[in-house]
Amino acid sequence: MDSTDATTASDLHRRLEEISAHEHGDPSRAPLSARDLTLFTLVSLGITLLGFLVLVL
Amino acid sequence: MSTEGKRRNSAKAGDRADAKADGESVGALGSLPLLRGERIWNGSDFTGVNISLAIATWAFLVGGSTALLVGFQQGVAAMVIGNAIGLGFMILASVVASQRYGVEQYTILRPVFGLVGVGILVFTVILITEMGWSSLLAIMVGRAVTQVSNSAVGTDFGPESLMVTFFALVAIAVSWWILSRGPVTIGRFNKFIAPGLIVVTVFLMVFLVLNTSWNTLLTAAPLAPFEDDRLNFALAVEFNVGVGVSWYPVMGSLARLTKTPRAALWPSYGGLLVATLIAQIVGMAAALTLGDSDPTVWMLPFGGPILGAFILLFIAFANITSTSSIVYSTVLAIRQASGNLLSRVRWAWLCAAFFVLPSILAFFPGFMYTRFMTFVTLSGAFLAPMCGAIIADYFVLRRQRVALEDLYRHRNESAYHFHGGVNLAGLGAVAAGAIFYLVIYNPVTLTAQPIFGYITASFPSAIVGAVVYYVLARVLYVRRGVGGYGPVEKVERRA
Repeated sequence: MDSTDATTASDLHRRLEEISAHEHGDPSRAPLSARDLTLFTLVSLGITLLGFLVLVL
Repeated sequence: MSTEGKRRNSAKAGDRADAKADGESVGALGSLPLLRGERIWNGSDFTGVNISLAIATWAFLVGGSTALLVGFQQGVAAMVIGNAIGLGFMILASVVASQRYGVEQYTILRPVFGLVGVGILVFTVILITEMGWSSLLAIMVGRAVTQVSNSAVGTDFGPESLMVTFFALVAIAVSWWILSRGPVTIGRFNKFIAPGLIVVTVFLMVFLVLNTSWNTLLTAAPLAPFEDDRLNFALAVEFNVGVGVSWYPVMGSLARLTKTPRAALWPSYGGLLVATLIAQIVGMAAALTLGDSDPTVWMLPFGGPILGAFILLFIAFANITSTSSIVYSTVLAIRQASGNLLSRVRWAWLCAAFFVLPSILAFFPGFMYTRFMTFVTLSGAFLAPMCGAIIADYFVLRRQRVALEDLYRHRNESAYHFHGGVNLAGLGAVAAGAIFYLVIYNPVTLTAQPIFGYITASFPSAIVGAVVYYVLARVLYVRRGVGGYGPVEKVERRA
């Protein structure tokens, strides 16, 4: 437990147990999907290209 | 950057996340991983949060400063390119991991830099960046109030006069007072600041449509360009990448309050990008129309003595609450990163200590304004490789998995203790990326290598940071089984 936290080690322990028991596989704790990651990269690139388009038009 | 309105909502989020939200117990819940029920924002909520973050006076200032280098068309292109790139990698570095684990962003950095390493970065890069922003906002207050005074009672205070410093110091004192009252007070003030700034933006747009032709705008010359057109455009892009990256210090701590990865990723990118671009483009158009990059100069010619003065006073107040929000998120980070050192210092004293350097900088209003671009790009030189290292760590080496319990364990008990609490790969990556940046473009001396005109500096330095981190982490830690980089099942067992 971080010594600067106002919370206690038992608070943290309780919370980690709660996460492990009730939130394993919960959508809020899902990793970012490969599809979203790819799409995000492509959208960022697309908007960057749009910027270059503004430049040449 | 960080970095004005964005901090505003950091404090707002703090309101809702903190169980005990008085000045002394701020952040009580902040360090624990959030549960599903504590995640309060869906995609639509978070889009609103990000839009209100991005519509801020700093965006006018960025728009005005971009107009120093390039004309309207090139400026729009530079803003689109710079923000698209800067926000793109900043969001991957700050938002994704904090959202998944519901953990405050400087805590989730421990696997990348180590507990002590995070402290080093917070006390250098983050602290200096935020001190610079808060002094700039305070000086903007000083300039706004002296403009009102000049217009209303006929005084003749210049933009670098001692009265600017005086009102900047008053702004800092009021910011400290608001801050010492805790995040609830900040949240109360902020409730009407963001809508008010949207009204100001619309007002500027209407004025521009009524008073400037499209042709005039397109042919307006940049205000103070260098001789080399390519360099001007590259600088404008680099400046805007730096602005995009400067959102880093608060985004993760906001994103942890969202309900799904998608609700964090897309609204943060879309909300920040669209709102930032609108406010910056309006700011640039105003600067090109009036021939001055300082937003406090635009309001009186645009709005007349009464409406203009009212808007200036509103901007002054918006900057004061923004300063409070900047310091709120930063002082929380400082307190967490300091170990035992600052844990017993009273909140109000800690905030007062933060304001010492901004108060000194307030005595140099001209310097801070003219070096605004230098300051943003210089902080980008460090934030960009930080982002690169974080992306390499979280997405490539750890495959989006960290052991929650190890984030909070002491010293050797934690898998993320590394060498004396420092992940050498992380700090090495930041150093290498920053050196690379400063070699191809030095914002202080304004010397640039020819290649800077083609590739700029922030994005390549983020790539350098990522590659150096990957190589060093593999050599120093992964092969030796140090740092919790192990197989997925092993990490999940620890979590």
